[in-house]
Amino acid sequence: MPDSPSPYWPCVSIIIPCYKQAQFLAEAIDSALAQTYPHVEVVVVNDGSPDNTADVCKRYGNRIRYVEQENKGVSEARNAGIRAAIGEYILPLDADDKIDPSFLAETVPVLRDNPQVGFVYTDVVEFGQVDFRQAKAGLGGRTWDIVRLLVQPYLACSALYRKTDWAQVGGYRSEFVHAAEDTDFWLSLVELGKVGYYVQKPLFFYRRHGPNTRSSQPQGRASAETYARIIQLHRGLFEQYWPEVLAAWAKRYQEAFAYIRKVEPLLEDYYRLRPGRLEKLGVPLPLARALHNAAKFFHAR
Amino acid sequence: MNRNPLVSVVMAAHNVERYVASAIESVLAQTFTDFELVVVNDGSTDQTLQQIQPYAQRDSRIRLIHQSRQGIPRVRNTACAHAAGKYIAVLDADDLALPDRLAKQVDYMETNPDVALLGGQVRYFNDQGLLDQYSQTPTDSEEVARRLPERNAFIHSTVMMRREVFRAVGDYRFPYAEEYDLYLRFADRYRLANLPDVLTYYRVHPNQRSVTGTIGDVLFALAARHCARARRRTGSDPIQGIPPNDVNVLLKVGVPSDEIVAALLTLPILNVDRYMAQNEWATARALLTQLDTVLRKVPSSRKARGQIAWLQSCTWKLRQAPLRKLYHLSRACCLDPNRFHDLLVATRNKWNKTLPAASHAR
Repeated sequence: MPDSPSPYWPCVSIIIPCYKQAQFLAEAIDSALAQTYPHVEVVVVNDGSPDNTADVCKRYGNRIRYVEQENKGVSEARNAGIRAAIGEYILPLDADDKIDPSFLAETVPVLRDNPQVGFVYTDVVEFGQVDFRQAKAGLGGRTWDIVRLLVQPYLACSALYRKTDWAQVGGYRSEFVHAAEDTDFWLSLVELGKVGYYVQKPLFFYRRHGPNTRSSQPQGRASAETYARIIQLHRGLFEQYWPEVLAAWAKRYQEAFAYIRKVEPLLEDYYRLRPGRLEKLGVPLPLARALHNAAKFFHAR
Repeated sequence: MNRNPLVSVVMAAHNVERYVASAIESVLAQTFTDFELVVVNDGSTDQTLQQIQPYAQRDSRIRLIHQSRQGIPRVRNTACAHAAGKYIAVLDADDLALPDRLAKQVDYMETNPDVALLGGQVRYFNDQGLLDQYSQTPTDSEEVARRLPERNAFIHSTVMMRREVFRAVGDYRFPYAEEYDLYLRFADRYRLANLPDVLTYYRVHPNQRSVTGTIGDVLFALAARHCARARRRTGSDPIQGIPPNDVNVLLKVGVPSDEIVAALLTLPILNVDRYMAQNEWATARALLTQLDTVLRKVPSSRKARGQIAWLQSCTWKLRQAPLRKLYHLSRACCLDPNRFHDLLVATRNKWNKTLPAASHAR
């Protein structure tokens, strides 16, 4: 247990919604139960999952609380879990992710001692099928920067916040079924006048698997429509930082374009070196394949 | 590509490499999506073109027109000539539209078919961030009609107008105050209005020091006002086509010279006072020299030029540049003999410091 002059250790509820992710659920629950922090309640919400989520939860018996609902999406599942929770602080956790045993021990004192802090997040470690191309664009924790959050959702969903704030905001918006519900929620907290706080320790483990994290759901963390909706919902915040946001967008766009310009000639080589084409030109097939792979390798970089 | 969008956003870009990408992003972020963006690159000598090109290549709603430097009325005319939409929305390349600007304006224009031109409010900002300053243009169309003949009642970066009306009214004409002239011509036959909402963030440049505009703004605003009066009286406009940037145009059209002198003396002299109060002598001198060159062409402006020369002498210190000071002082006295009296008062005050200083404004 962490040393602190204050004897007060508020109860924390870890909310784990699960939809078609029973194969990872046990890992998530184990990491939640293994917290060094004393007052922890684990709530698992079965979001109408057709797999054996219920069986996995039954194994834990009374050590976790189990809530069931028909499939309504991650926002509603989380809200249901939080409604059922008794904790003063809330930590949402996705069923395929994990947290370090010291997560709460590190984050709770920050939230308890700083009333202006609305949510506490940590550095992120990616695991599972980490693609080296994704790793760069990941959800790595960074110091609190409201403009960055407005420009690009960079926070993972797992951050510790107060249940009273959740109630004041009105919970996660159920219209965000697939993605962006957490960004929307953090922005709502910011609108209450709260700030985020970054604990610079790798305490959250984010699983990459297959095409997307929420495997059963459509692609795109923040598609154009979702993003437009977020702008609409948090109009005041975007207006306040509009010049900075636009400048960041423009900068990102120009950088991406410069990158494409740089890569384009390589891309041309890549297509010119197609094995079939080389073979027609008289290159033996194994050599053609090797050349193609080399071009592919350089292109991927 | 949608050939007939509802709104054409027109943007004239000249040497705005730092700002134009943000402005384009602000248009692309509009909640109203049935628009095209016409960007006219007016012979920029910096990286402006390179900043716009990626957008134009990727987004078919953006049309980039590149031309050699042609200056203010002609760029705006080029942009508007390429606009295909029912409405033309103006956004300057250094300003930022808020995401629901087009939505709000289109909504209003569709529900009020008798309004031909619709502006809105702006919030000012600079590189440091948003300022707590807002425009206050009249929103009611009667109020606009009452105020417009005296002074401008719109902010150009918020304006949306009907394209047919713009075609009927005619192009921008003046090298300065070109938008004021256009509003006055709109107001001859149509209703104009402003929205009470902030539609655009308006960039205040660090070197954009003059609150009241340059000499050109003052002169051509006067010309626009005079033309509006002439149109109301006789039904025809004294200026046809694009006039040269010259004070002679005003005289030919028949603006009385004392009006020109009064306009030139009131607004810019306020700026000169401010520059002198802030110890920006070089800026003040440059403005005074310009004023003198313009006034030289205006008949019966001797007294005014005397005042300018007096101010010019005030910008030089007797210890550091005695000849320049005396030169302007003697010019002031020759142009306006009353300045002898001022000189005597100033000299007496210099010797007798207990008395209050004489004001140079008479």
